[in-house]
Amino acid sequence: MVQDNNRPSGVTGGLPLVQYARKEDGGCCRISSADTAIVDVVNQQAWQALAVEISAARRRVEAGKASPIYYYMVVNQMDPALLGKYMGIAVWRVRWHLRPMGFRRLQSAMLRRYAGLFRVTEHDLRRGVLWAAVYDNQQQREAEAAYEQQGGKGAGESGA
Amino acid sequence: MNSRVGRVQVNRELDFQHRQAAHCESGVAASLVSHIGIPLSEPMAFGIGGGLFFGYFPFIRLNGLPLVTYRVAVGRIIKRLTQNLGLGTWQRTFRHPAQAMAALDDLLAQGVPVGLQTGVFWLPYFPKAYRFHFNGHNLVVYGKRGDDYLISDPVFPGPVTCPAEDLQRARFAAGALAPKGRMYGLNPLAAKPDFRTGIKAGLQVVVRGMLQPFPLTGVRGIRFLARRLKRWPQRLGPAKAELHLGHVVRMQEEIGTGGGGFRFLYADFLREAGELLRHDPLAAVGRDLTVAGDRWRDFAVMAARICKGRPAAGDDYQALADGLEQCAALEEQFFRRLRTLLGTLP
Repeated sequence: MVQDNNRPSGVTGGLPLVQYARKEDGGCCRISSADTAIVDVVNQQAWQALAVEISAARRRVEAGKASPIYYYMVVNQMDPALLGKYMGIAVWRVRWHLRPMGFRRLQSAMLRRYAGLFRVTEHDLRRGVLWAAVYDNQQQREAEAAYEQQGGKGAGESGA
Repeated sequence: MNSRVGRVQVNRELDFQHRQAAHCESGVAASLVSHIGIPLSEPMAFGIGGGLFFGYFPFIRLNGLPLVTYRVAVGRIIKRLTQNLGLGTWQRTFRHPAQAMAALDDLLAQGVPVGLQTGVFWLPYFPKAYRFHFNGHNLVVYGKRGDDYLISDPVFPGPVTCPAEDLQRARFAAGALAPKGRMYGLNPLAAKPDFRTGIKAGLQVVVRGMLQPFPLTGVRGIRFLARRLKRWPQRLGPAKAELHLGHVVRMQEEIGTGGGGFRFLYADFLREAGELLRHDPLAAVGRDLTVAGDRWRDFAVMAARICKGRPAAGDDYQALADGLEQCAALEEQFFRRLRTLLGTLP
């Protein structure tokens, strides 16, 4: 099997892929470098659609119309049903927690479970700190978390 | 979520050869079969496993978009491959994550490389572009160093590592196709497999799948998609139609299809199988499938131009549908021919 991979693409994060294609002589196929131009377009399209949803969610939370859990649900590409499965609770309970009122009445233990799932701290959720998605700014978040702990603002590190 | 790992402290790296593949499941299948002593290429694993398919199911939704598939259901390739070759397999699913991780560690300690079904979203070594909730990914764990698992992920050029906590999450990803910690592997080789019957069985299942009368799958499924796609702009409005179109192309060209919705991969299998059986017509017939593969590519390119908002002259949904009709016609012809060829195999 031959493979040559020298076409890094923005969207695949430079991940060289294997693809099969037609040989120039019209014969059978073999592995060639992946032509990711098409994939890039449609992949970007999907991410753009997601970005629109995320910024809408952020606005809703900042306007006090939804809870931070709603924002983190959208950022993690979930819907209430999926979030409920991850949390092991019913959908209607998730929906309740998505509202500011239901969110305010959340017990610490439940909040910590949400925080663990979303990889943020309980403090972040309570204060309504809206981080970007896990795969977007891991380093930045770690740096700021370390800074916050130094400052001794007291938020207990949740078991993320 | 707790991240308790197995009682056994494993610090072991098995001798496992990583190979990059176009598709995760056939890649894992090929690696595992090769590991027990039968050298097998990815196209052969895909072909004997009867991986090629088409299905369009508008009533099943993924993130609100209709399900389009160019391959058989997750797990089916490995199952058929091992059945058709008469290889023994085992698999387990779990209720408790801690148990699942302990079982994995036990097997590694015994020196067994383990295949896992996982979600993609929680795997930290995946680039951002692929972090969607897709639970049909396959990989092989071949060792553990400290708290990191050593993973042969066929999509990647080299072996990767993954912290235990993330792997545990990926193994218990929720939602459609939830893996429930599924792990699997092959038993040690008992008897030498018969490739002739294996290839025949693999071909038969694909020919049947593509030519059967059910209207949503096979060649009829492609025609069905063409008819529906034509009306997307009127039915959904331009923005949503573009999203639907992008989704179809993503399923066809994105990570792990080998391009052209597996058509090129399958054509390579036909060549290799024909050479193995010394059957020239079979070795040559794959060329016709690459022609269909090229039509699929053209379809994807045109669709990408439309999604980008830069259609060239003559690009519209009608033209796309015509392209799909062409693919359907080519593939119908091709699989009919393959069916007659099947009777002539030694």
